Amino acid sequence: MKSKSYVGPVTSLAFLGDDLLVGHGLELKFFTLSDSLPLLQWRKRIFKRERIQGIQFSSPAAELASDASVLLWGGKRFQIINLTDLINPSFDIRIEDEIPAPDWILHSVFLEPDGEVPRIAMMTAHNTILTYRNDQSIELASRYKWYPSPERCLLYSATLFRDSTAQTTNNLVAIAGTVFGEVLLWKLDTSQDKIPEKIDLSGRYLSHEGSVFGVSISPDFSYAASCSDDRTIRLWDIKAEITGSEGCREVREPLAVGWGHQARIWGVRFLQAEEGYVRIISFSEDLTAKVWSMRLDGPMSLICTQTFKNLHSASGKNIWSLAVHPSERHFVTGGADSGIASWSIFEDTPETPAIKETIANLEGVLPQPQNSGGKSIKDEPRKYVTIGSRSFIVAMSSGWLLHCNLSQPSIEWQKIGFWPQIKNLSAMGAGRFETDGKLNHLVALGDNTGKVLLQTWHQCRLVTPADSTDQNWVQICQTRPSDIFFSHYQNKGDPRSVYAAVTTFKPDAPIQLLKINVETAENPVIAQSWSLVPPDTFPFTAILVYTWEGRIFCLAGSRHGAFALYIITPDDANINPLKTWRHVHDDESITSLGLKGTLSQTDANAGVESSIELLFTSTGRSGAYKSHKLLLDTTTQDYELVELNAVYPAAVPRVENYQQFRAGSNEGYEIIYGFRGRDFVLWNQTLGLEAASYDCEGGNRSWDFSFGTDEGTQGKGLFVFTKSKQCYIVEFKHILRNPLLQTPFHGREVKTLAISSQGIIATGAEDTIIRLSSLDQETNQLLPLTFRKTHTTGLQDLVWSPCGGWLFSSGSVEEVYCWKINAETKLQSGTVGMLREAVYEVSTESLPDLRVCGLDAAAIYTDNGDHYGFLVGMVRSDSSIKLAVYDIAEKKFTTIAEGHYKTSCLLQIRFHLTTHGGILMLTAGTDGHVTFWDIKETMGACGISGKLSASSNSVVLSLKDPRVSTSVPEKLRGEQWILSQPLHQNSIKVLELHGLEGGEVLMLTGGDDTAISVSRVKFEETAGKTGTKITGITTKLLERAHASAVTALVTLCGKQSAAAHQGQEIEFLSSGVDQQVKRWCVKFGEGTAIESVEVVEDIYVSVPDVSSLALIDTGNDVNNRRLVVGGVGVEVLEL
Amino acid sequence: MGKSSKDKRDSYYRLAKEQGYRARSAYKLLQLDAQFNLFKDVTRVVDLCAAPGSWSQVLSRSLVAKGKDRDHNVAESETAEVQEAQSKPKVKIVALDLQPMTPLPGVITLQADITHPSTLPLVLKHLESDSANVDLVVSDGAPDVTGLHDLDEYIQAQLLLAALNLATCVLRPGGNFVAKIFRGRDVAELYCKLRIFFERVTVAKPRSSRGSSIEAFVVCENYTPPEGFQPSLENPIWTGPTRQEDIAGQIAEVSLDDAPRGRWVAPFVACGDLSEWDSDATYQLPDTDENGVKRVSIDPIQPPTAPPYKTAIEMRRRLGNGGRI
Repeated sequence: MKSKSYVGPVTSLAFLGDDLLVGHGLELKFFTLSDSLPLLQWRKRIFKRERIQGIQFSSPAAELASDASVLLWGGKRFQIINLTDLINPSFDIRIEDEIPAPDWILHSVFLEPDGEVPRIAMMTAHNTILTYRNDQSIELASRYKWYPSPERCLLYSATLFRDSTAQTTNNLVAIAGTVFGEVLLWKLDTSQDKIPEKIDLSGRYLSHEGSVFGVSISPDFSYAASCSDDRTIRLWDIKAEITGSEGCREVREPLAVGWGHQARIWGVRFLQAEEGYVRIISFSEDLTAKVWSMRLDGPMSLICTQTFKNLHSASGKNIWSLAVHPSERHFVTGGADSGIASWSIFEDTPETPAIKETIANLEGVLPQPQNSGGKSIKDEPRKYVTIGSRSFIVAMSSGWLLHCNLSQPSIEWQKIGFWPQIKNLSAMGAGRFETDGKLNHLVALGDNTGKVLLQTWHQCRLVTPADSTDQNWVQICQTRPSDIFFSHYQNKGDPRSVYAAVTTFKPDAPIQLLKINVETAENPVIAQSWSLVPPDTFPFTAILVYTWEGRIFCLAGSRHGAFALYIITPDDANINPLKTWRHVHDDESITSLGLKGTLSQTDANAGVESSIELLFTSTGRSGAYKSHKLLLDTTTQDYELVELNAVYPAAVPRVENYQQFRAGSNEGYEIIYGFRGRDFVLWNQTLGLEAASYDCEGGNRSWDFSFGTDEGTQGKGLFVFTKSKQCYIVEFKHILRNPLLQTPFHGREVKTLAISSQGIIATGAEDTIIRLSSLDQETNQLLPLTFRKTHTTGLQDLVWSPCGGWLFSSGSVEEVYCWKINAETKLQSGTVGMLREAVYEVSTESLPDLRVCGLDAAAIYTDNGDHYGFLVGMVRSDSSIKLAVYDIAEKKFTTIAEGHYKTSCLLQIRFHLTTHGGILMLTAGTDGHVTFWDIKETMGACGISGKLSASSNSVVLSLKDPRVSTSVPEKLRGEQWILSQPLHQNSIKVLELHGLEGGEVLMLTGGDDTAISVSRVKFEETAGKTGTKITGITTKLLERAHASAVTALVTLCGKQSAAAHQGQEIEFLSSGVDQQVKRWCVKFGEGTAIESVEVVEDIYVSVPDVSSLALIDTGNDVNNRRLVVGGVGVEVLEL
Repeated sequence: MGKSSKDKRDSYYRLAKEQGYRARSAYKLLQLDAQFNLFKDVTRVVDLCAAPGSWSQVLSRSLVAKGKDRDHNVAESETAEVQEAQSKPKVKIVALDLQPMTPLPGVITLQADITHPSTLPLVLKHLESDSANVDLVVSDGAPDVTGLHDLDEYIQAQLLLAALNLATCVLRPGGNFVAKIFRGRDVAELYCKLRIFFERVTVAKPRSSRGSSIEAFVVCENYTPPEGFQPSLENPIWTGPTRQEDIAGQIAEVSLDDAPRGRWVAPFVACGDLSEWDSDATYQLPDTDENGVKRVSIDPIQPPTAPPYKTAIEMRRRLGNGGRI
């Protein structure tokens, strides 16, 4: 077995000029960053078992010479490597060359070399300094020099500095943070041959209220900073201790305390600062980094000047490493989630902020409001239309229409017109169309008498004549319009038409659909209008119009989450809806509709001309953006709506719109925007990152947003809104910025991992997220497909349907979900649709923390061969078992049987179909027993029987009746046990079954007691009521199979067929918390005998807390399979 | 989550409150004792990293007030324990922790660092002894877990080895040592080290310790130090070099003759009967007890110690702005 790829915590980072060295697991990675795109140049394994926790160079990064050396350490090991060799991609590092240290290294630095021989100093976790002279010719222990510790105690953090203010450069200043909240400072001259008998502390700094996780000293050796479990940064004046020579100063008052992090703070570094200032950067468990500043002659307080939020995935918990670029203009962070991201320190300056906010001074623009009856009328902005990212139109309550141009250094206002009839206007909307490759905006506004005015804008220029007289207003409806919605899609087949819907305040009044001819941009004309009759309780909120072969399809979205479909026939004035779909977005407003993909993609239907497929997206205040397929068959008049994908981005609970970017290097970015509490949020779903957010005090106000529309403004956005009757202008830059150098994965440990028959890897983690990934055949890297943060608790189990089309997931608080996975959707290459089809109904007398620990699923077909659904088994922490049938047509779970085992927690469930048609259920839990249940009769009562097949390895069931009866669930009873076998002393962490020839099954279990059991079980069907009987069972218990709990097992036999084994052997793999993967060979004997079980291979993996193993095929060759190991990270191994 | 829902989630949490223990971990020691008979003939015992004191409570109740009916009022019974302790001056329980600990009847509580050389004479003084004659040393100490597995396991191992060093200084030959261990990747090396000092090393998982937790306990029986071994807190073993001569030993991998490549796995025992509460299981508690009285959730005996971020929370509240900074 050989490791091929790894995702897991990034434990160290260091800049080498513009390039970056990354400690990622046992490997060092080298990224070049000089070009716009970060590029991974190479990866080299450094240690046998240690993660790289520190990187140091023999001289400051700016002065690196070719003979420079690099020091890498992790745990009790380190390596000193010539820089030129290290950088050379073809130079191999020998892990055998790692050097053992006498204790855990917390920090290490190079000293002046002894001639040619590099020397280093290291600080251990026991507050001890050792030096090491890398002279390979002498015995290892003699290369070390030990110095007495001023105070031996256990440290959480330490940093060594070479004191540039001292006489020799081998003078060290050590700063340490203890487990008990103390910061210790001491000095050591390592240039002397004589080892001092005693070394004193120079300073002891008290006042932290928890463990000190990070310590640092300013470049001028004047200040020290520390950070702690107590959520504070503390700054200390150390000048006296650095220059003083005697005694230890005890300081109980820090110079300043920095408050603001909301979780433990892992590290602090000093940044360059202007004269008279101190600047610090810190990073924390709260997933933020903060820059702090303090004026030394001012009040002694650390002010947080910049916060970098949601570093990486926002799902993680920890940032483990940070490095500041030599220019100090940006820094990189490395997370527990495997992500590496780059952040600019100076990007967000007051002069050029990433988010610029302006409050418009409209009083200066508009004439003073006229007095009517002596009362002054307060004019206020009513409604906005943004035109790209550099201009917008605002309608004032007085009847003024204004244009604002932001493309110049100062804001330019233009009065477009004043119409008394648009006082307090609410109906204004904009659509887009392209003519001659130029993008224009078509703005429509409706007045209080039901008339509509059209204007075309190209960038900041009004194309239609400015002096719009009354003749330009066209009567559309009889009452005051409430809103105007445009269809945001310009049909290639009908490029001269733009469609818009005008709604009124009358609930059941028809909606006017306008076809606007934009052949000449200067003169848009309403070519035709129709009255759309709304379905019951269907206030329009969005429309999408698609024309095909002369037919016009109009899809409308409502305030109550429904869709309605209209086919527009040119001659009919009143059009009735053909079909309505309710609760698409629950009962919440549909906020946008957009056609997905291009016309050629959606139009190309294999020869059947009477039917087409529309792929489109919708967003809603349900918090979702969804992809749908609408099948339109105009001959049979079948209209079918299929949901392909549903994403509920937790960062945007109120989704207003969705945009997918296609151009340039940002191809494929999906940006969702909307509101979260007080904030307007732009969320990059592709990267899983918040792109930007702005506190506008909530979304219930008049607002509009649009992205930049041309190359120069792509990635910019304009958000305008009214707050306290004032117009706020917010300009976003860098919306499409990708800060990621390495893609983040789960933020916490993977608890369960399952691979579908199509090779999709599903992982569920403690961070409550389910991720789907695929494996790159060439590089063996995991490629992220999609993720869902829907569970509210850490994942317990995941199981795929045998066909790979459905995924069942379980968590705590009784959560069991059924997901439909659309791997073949044409949404976009490299993604899959994933939607939660059903939720298993929670019992009424719910227990808190009732975990659904184990799942299994077996396919059910009807007698005529149709795929009906699945039998889903669930075992839970209160010892209860639930068996449910999942009906894929109804998208519904029905409980068909339930019962209890005992009172102990159950962890595992597996179904097995004997060659005689017996249906067995195996359960196992914390009491170490595996229990075989005969559930044939129970299943029979629901019309389900085993489907006999030559292969006994996959469980296929068949259903006699067209439906499963939904009466009272059957009871699972102790009488159904045919065997309850004690195999382990306590928890059975894994249970695997593999069918063998001759009606036998190979059963493997792994326990917390470090043992593995290997059993051969033979079954027989007996006549009458007794059902299946076990006629033979042979178990071999492998005690102390691992040094710690055995958590994962997988057999190496082919998945689909029963293994031929007579006189042969079967191999399986095991792993556990000891981080070893072992390959075992089981030799079978006569009858059901097991001759031997032996370890044939045993390797270390860099994933702590291994929870799962799974195999993935990469072709037909059995030897070409990959082993995926899940735990704190994921490792892929070649077998 | 309120305390009553925690009662359902965690049967041992509820039991601890009902039986007057300061923490649920008391049951881990009780179950270890049930399996290994650790308290038999024990008169001198040292409890390391003792705060908040639940193990000391178990020791006090088991050794001092043995046989006493304690089903009634806890406070009363603990007063009784004091009297009992006075009548049996033979039993000595010394509990050490760096954190202050609420006094317990029959237990000498000391605020001291277990790694510091000055701690040894202090312990011996309180044991009223000038030689190593302790029957049992126990340690339930655990660090602040950071989430960096290797560091957490290292720190836990260092706590265990610090406890071992103190144990070697105070245990009589034949004495026993029980300590919390994280069963991570390097656990086999720790087993080896313990095996050098004790005839029997077993790793035990009490039923009251959650299955999902990496934690277990090493039960080391019959202290038999290698010949010529000089216990010392000045020069402790395996906790980093304390002089130049230590370096070679600290670099070398520890190996046993019967443990090729320095790796030896201690036998595993799950302790506590299957009929006892399962710490992983969720229980449906009846709303009323056996007498038909409505069940009320009891307050914990000792509220949790103030977290290190208590001041930070207060600061945030004072700053206002919805906690945003």
